[in-house]
Amino acid sequence: MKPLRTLRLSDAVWNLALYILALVMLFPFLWLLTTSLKQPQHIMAVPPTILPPVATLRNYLEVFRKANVPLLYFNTLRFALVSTLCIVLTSSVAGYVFAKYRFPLKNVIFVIMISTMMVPFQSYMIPLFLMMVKLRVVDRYLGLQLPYLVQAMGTFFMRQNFEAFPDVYLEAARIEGASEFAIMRRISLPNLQSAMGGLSIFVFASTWDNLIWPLIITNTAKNYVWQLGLAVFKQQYTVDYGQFTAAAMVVVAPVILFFVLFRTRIMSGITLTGIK
Amino acid sequence: MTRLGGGRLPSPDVGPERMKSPLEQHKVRFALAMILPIFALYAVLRIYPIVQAFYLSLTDYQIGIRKYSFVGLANYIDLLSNLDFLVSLKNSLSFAALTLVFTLFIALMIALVMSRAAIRGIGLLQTLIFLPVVVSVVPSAIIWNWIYDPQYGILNYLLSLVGASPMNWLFNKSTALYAVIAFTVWRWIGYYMIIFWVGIRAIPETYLEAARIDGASAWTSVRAIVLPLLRPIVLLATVLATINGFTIFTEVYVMTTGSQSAPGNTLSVLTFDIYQRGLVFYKVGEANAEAIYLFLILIGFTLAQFAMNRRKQDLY
Repeated sequence: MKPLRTLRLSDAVWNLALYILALVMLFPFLWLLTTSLKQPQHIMAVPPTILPPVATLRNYLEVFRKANVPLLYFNTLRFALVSTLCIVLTSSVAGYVFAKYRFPLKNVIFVIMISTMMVPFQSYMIPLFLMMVKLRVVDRYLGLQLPYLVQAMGTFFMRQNFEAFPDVYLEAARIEGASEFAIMRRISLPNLQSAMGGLSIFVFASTWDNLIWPLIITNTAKNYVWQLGLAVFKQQYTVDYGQFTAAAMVVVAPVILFFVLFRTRIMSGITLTGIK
Repeated sequence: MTRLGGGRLPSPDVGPERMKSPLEQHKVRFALAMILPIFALYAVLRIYPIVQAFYLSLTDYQIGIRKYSFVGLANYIDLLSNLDFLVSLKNSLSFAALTLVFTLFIALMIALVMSRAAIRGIGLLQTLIFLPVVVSVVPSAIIWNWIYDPQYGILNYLLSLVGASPMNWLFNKSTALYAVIAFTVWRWIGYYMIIFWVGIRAIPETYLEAARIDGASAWTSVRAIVLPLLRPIVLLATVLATINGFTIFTEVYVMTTGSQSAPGNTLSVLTFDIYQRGLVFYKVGEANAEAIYLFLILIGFTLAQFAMNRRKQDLY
């Protein structure tokens, strides 16, 4: 049995400090929630009140009236899910092949692919946009999606993970007469599900968060993803805090719910995938 | 070395005289069949635009004007005396440096306290502190715009309680940079906290136990054991924070652009200036030169950070 530790004074101070900090971190979200439930005269009240004197859903109704919420969700989810699927697939296959096979020019191909990781998106976004103009996919879903089929960081991350995967499994399957494709599909990929899961969370979160490419490539409201829709909404109704906090809540609420449900996986997915 | 089916195993001698079994050839064909389509995607979606960015930066290309000519390094030289570029460069440098210092310092302090003191409910605390990382930039920026509001914002109200006069935080050139920095620090603390936390947890407890037996205080063991062992993680966090700091766009775009997409911005950073120059004013040549400057700055800082770390390690 471990002896019960009594809380020392210094520990009590540290606990208090961390909980105050956590409250400060949380405060903007609480403020968002309560503002979105306030009536205009209460939003502009001096001194401000934390809780709305009279709660109202009026702001939410206005948001649903002015913006096509289901379409925004559809556009955003399609962009985030297809990106996740494609990037995880291409990264896993490329990472596996780089880790376990030898072929001519392997190192050259690897270095060229991985070196694109060093170039920030903002450095080549204009030529990418000009390419989309030539392909006539501006303001279309395809134009939004095309740049997010591959990701150098994902490829590098999956190669690192596959290098730790023992060769004996592959050799055993070869002796059994399995084809290389079957080995990849039935043995290698299924064994790295947790790495792929981490990468999925990372890619999903970063695509969901993406504003700059949707801003460049889309012009019409029917093609907006949430980030762009919110940014435009904010520019149009600059002073109506009730409405734009409600709009922000509509985006934030499901994310927070997901995070609370799967917090450990999400935290390690976002941070550790980024540093491996 | 004799092994059953040894011919199948990749042999270390890569030479033209190496025996190629049918299986070996099959494996090469499989690998190429898998990698070439993916490489083609990289070639079209990454390598071509990157090469194009270099090429266009050497021209006077403008969207809407068909003819363009090769101007050498003129765009690069012109930018060095361009006020918008210089202001953006200065803002990006201050932004990256200040967010890096504040975010990493606060995150490291939190992670150290969590690991060294008897903290109740670490899981809950970490979840709350990490929350801003998962919530997207745009809705978070909207909340902070509301907090910073010059007339009804709660920040000005709180400051008025101690007698400060109200400020227009985001639309005043002297405060906009710091207002966006505070927002960014708030958003990123949780991310680096987890990175540091994982790093500290990887340090074997026996080291710290030994120090405790020798009578080292908590602070001494942090300084003498935890921080030196954490050095690779801190370096990594520094590189990541530098890259994040120089490539922020959304924060600046959402928080400091005026209503109705009015041109002009109280706070410009390199990424915003590239966007505006190339895709709002259509000066593609100049914008790409600026994009290449951004790339060179990032590469420079990353290499410098790794080099500095190596030199420090050599001292031991």
